[in-house]
Amino acid sequence: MRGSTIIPVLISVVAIGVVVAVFSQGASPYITVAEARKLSSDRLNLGLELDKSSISKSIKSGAIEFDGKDKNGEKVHVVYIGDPVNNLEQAERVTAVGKLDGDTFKAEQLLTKCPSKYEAEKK
Amino acid sequence: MDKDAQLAQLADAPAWGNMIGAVGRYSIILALIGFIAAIVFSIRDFPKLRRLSFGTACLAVLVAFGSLLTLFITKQYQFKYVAEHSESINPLIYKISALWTGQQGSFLLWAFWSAVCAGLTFRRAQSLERGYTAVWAVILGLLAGILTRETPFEIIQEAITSKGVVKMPFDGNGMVPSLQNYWNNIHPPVVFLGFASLAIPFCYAIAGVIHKDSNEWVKLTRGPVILGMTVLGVGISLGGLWAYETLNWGGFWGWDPVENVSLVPWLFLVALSHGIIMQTTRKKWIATNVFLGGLPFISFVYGTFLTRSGLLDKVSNHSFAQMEGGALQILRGGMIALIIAFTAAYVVTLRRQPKSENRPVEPGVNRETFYQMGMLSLCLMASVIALGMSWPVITALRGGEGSRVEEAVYHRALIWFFVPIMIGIAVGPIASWKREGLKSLTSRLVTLLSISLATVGVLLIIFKNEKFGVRITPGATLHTPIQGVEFPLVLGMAIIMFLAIFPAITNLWRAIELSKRSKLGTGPFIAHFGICLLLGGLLISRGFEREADITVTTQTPGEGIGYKVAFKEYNWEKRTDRDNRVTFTVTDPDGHQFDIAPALFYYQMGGPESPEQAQVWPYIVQSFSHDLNFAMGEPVVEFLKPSMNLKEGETKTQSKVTIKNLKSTNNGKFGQAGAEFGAILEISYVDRGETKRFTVNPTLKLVEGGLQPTLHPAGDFQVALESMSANDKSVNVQLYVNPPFFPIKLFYKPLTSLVWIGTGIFLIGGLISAANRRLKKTPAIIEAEDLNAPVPATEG
Repeated sequence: MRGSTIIPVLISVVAIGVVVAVFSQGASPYITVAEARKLSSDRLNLGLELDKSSISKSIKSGAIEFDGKDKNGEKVHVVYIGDPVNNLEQAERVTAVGKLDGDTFKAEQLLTKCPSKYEAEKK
Repeated sequence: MDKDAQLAQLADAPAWGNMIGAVGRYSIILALIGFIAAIVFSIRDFPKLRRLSFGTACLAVLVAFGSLLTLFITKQYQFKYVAEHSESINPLIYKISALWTGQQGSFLLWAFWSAVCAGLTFRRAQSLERGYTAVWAVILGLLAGILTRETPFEIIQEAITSKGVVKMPFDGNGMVPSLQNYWNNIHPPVVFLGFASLAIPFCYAIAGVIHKDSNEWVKLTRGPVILGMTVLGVGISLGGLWAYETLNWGGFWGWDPVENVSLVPWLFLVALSHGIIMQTTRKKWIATNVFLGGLPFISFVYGTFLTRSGLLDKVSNHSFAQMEGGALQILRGGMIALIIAFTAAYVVTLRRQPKSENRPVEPGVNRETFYQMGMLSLCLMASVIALGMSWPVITALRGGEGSRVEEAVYHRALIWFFVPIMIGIAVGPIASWKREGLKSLTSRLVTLLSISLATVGVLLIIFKNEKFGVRITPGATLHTPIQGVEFPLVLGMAIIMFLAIFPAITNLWRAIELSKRSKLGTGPFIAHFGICLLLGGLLISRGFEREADITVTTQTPGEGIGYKVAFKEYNWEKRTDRDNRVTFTVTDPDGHQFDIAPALFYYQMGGPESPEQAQVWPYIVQSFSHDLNFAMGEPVVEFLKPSMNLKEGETKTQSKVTIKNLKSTNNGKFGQAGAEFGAILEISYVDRGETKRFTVNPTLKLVEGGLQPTLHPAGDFQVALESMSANDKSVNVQLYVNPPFFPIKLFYKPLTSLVWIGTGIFLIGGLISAANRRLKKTPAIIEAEDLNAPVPATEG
């Protein structure tokens, strides 16, 4: 009985330990522009306040470009190439996932949070 | 009064409508009182009163649900929740599904199914009825408590006059168009029925401890657990299919926290269903089952708390609104209380366990070994996913913004648990309950193993040969679980495919072999087979996925991975028609032509001043060998958002285009018919390093019925004026993309059909298993048969 309890417990402890290590190493951090300069990960999550007047879509490449401000107020230019996004114009804040290349944040994914996505706006 | 004057133009809300809302509201309060009474009558043992109060309270929850449904169907927009989630133009099916599109309604849906589950089972709990009812009453009481705070029956305060008369607003705000889809009528009710059923084993487990019973509860919970596992499994799968059919990313599963909240309890439930077999047939794992009995429900409550408390706001795309403070307190308090009660129950069970004599462990493996391996891996997998979805909260505790676990990292961590689970599914059904050497077991598996390897080989040949309709990118690589190491895609996929095909074949063989002796006994193996097909479909369609970005304009076709897409038609006049579609003609690599028609319509939410938004649905061409998922983005028509306002002589740059207002022009006077006003504009932008410059003179002509703008081509754009100010002669300039272009992402996904087929087979297998339990009064006949049955021989 003893042996049969200890082995699964041991396996569990080791497995969870390994997973914590994998997550610690591989999870994508939420960062600011200043932190993005220091980090080398390809999947940085940069939360930005969107400057709507700056949104432009390239007809030739399909890229979407815009300017945003992080929570410290630092400005950054974002170039996004990826799946078509809808309702970008309605989003107040976006999370751009990618990496900083020089002064441009190259995003491969955009997470938009529209106030109206699941809860209707008040009239 | 000012407010009353404003409200005077509105009609009075019908009294019967207000009444139905009141019925709903008081039903919740009645239910709360009833559940509290049921708890009291359980503690002081009054069986008749307990049954009466509990039964009445369950009925009251159903009445509340019925009231809200009636309010939605009969358009009672004086109620805040109804007005915020529905509008009169919605067809009936969306008026119904609007009920669960918000926080309050989804809690009521959970409470509704819980009342159904509890009401149908509490009189069947036999000797455990008292404790079983009491625990259910606590859970349902908490839900009713939350619903008194988060009530969907609140009347809009602004619609009540100073004399207390309720007025009817013109219309509701409407339902988010992305939810106006038949899937919203299917997935949420199914998945919430699954969620509600999770409480059944939880209540039975605790009731078992209260009544000092360690075996009866397992027999009673068996049927509901299998049904719940089937319903929730199918519900989750339908959610994936919903995402695949309507979202623009061509996938089924994104490891979003709200998805994970449904998967974690399901994995625990699967482990429990196997633990139950161990206990009913082998009298083993009694304490383990108490533990497993509670985990599905507790993990679900924890997940609900995590996703609705606002803690994961940054992470989840589902973005439920944060709960009302008092309701959140009830949820948090209830969760903690349930966890404490459950932990206490488990500890009591452990202490009651007789000290087992040290039986010598025989060498070798038996079916139990594989059950153990599979169940442990399932529980670890569930724990790892729960850890992953909590990761943003955990890491934020260390200070800073925290971090998020993404798809690739989940895959890297979960593959280690996926492999033993699949081996368990494959070998478990073949292994006998008697211990034997690994060698003798493998020798019996040789035939099935060979068939599996051959199947993988054949599939790879098919995938390599384009004639069969499945095309894969040659030379692609796949990330391995070890960071930085990459496999050739084909090798990696061969291993993954083997892990799905091997268990599929052993279970299929087992089902066929068993069907001669017991038709209903084949249920579990059919369910396994379905799961393997489903997983195989998911893995192959994702692993061998190919994608291309195709830009199509109304004039020029686009091309990607061999598919040519040409614009055919779109009726811009009917742009707000919800059935409006864009038609394209596609030429496939073999030269065959067919039409695709992704949906595109425009809508305004929250009144005429709100900005217009586009809604798109992808178009999927399905066949057995592969799916083509055409995910079309919103077409780019208006280039400047918002339009640019320019005074005479002014120059502005927006979205990389510079416009200079050189001079205002006019011909006639403001207010005079036929008068024409305009501006000479210089437009410049850089195209591939070359500056392009155009001078145009767009005008607005005053005609009967308003101002008519003129369109002037300027390179990639058409220029038009939206308006002109009479005071300072400034103009609002809009650039229209010329011609409009449609961004299309094409996903080529082989064998996606297996996801559908697998889900269907899993459902059949689950229902057969459930039917089997119900027919046979003494369970485990099949297992007992297995024990005595000759060792399955696959050789010779």
